[in-house]
Amino acid sequence: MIIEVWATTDVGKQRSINEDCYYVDSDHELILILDGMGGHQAGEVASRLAMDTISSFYKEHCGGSADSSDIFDSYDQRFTYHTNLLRQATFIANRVILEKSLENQELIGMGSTLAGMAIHDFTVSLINVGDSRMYLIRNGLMEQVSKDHTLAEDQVERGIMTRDEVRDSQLRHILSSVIGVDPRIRVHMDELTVFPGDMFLLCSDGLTAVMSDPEILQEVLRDKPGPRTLDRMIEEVNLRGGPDNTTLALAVFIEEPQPVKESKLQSLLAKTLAVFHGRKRNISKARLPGGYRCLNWS
Amino acid sequence: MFKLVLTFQDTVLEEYTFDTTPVTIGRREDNDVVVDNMAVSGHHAQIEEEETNFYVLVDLESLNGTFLNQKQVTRERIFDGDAIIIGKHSLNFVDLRPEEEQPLRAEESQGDKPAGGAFRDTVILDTQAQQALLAKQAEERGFPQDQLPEKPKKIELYGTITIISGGTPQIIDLNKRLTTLGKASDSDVKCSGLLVGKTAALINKRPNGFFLAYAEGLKKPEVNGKAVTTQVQLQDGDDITIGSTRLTFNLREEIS
Repeated sequence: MIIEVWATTDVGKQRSINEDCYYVDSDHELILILDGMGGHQAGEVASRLAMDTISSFYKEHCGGSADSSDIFDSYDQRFTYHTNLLRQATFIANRVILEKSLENQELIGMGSTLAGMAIHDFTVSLINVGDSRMYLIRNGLMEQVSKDHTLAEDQVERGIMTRDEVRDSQLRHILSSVIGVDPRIRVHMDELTVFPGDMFLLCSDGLTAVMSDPEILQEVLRDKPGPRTLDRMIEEVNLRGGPDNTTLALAVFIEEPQPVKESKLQSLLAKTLAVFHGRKRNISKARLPGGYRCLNWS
Repeated sequence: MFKLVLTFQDTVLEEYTFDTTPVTIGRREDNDVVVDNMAVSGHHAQIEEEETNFYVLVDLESLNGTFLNQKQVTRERIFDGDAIIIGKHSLNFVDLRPEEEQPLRAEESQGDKPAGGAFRDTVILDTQAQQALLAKQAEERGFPQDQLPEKPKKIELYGTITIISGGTPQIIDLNKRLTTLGKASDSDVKCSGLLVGKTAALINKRPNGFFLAYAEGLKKPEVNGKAVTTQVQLQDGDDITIGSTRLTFNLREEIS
């Protein structure tokens, strides 16, 4: 199986600064979307700091295993090493941003959301904090695989609101967990096996504030998935006023037409493609069912 | 600069033009707009200005509420053409500024689009403020602090795998999100047999059940005698065969 990944970010129509950012790393098979918040330029500082901290911690340790590591504050046995690694990276980012914000008056209260996925061993590890979302699109259906950390969601869990009421509630804009504001942080984790045809959409709330889930699904399925899919969604968001920054990443798992063993040339090319950070469009590879390590770019 | 047209049962009673804010509306004589009706509170509502160029209608905790275009509001931006309802009276809002100086309603809530409203920006609150807000909303919905509704029931799924043959007989709880089955020494469930992959199969625990997926190896896992090429949802009592290892899946539901 091959994974193709595209990502893009747009400032929108009403803001002058883009506080969102994204990270796509084909070598370590890691995709992150972050939405920063805070006055002045603090939101921008927070999201980039979280991105750098999480990605570098993950890269540093993703080759390790649960037994050999003393890097964890806590280890959740129900999840794989890689998912625990993403969570630990998020804990560290939380401390780093909190410390940084205490150093400088202008940065106090800054924070960032996170939606991240790492691909490894036939599966994806999913992690999220705040209201940036991840969707799995499989067999023409879309399922939200992240959990919103908003007060509206809390009220649903307490039985005070119904799920249908959330969309119209002001509480859905108030985050109950965010990286960098409180020493305690809620992190949602999940793990999924993946199959050819699966697509994952990661997005900041710039998209979900103006488009409903069925509208998003319709846009994803409109045509063959590719960079145009993301461009069309950004265009639609801006047509609807573009109130916020919007960041999108689309990962598509596809069947390799014929098994190709990785040649020396390919592995060399893979290395040269190692630096992906900040590029608009990226293609990734992974080891997945079928057992081949393949690389594809177009 | 804006105009308010006061009407009662389709009859225009008065027109007011204002240059400055706040403009107060109520039954008492000291209001800018006096509406003499018992359904109207003494100081019922007022119109304020908000950055950058918005007029805002604010309800002053009136007894019978302030309505904007049929919707009850506490604080809401208003635009040219909006109808404010107070008691049985209606106030039509006319923005008198040049059109290019008037704000656009563009991102306001309408139809099937998600609502915009007062919190246009994402907000972070500290834990205490969060708890206070949650309690306040619960109370508004008729759930005082000491009488919270019962939490919605959650169905917790418990799955187990029993190794029947081709391995050390044992029962393995599927309490991990992903359980690996295969030849690899670090597999959660060790299986043997010719052409069985290091990770032959994975069992994924999802909110709606347990799913067995094929991973690698020429020998595909079988559920009830049928080879699995992608994934299947496991049912209580299913037989699983991986190479020469035979297993049984059991499922138990508990309501918590």
